[in-house]
Amino acid sequence: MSTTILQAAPNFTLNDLQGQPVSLSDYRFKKNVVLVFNRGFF
Amino acid sequence: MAQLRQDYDKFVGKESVILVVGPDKQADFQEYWSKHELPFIGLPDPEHHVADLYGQQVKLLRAGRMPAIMLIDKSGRIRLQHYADSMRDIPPNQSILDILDILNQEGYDGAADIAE
Repeated sequence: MSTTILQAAPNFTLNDLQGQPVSLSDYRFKKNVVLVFNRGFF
Repeated sequence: MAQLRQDYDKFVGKESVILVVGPDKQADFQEYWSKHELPFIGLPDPEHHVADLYGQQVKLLRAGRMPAIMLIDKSGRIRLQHYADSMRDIPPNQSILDILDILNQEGYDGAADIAE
């Protein structure tokens, strides 16, 4: 189910695999973000 | 995940990053990332902070509706959301790439129209 919407994405900060903080806002005005919510690998 | 990886260079070429949020712990992410040589930015979220944030504030991500994929444009707006039963069920890469083309063509004129 795909929906086209237009809504401000809430900012968040999580540590990446190197332990460095990554915020959604880091990419503002720089990159489009493909945000994938994964269910779990195992 | 393999599907997105296949066209990773095309996504990068369209001024995009791929962030993968998941409930697994950092060690499990690292194991999976090195096993599959994934170039994406992995963001372990074992306490579901981001899933909860998107579920509560935006009413987008509902419990049990994962995986999900969202496209967020450069001005910070969600432009597309897609729920799937599995990662095989996400939209074809070409559909996502086509939408990225549209977003890039639109350009943006700053944050003036975004409600904080």
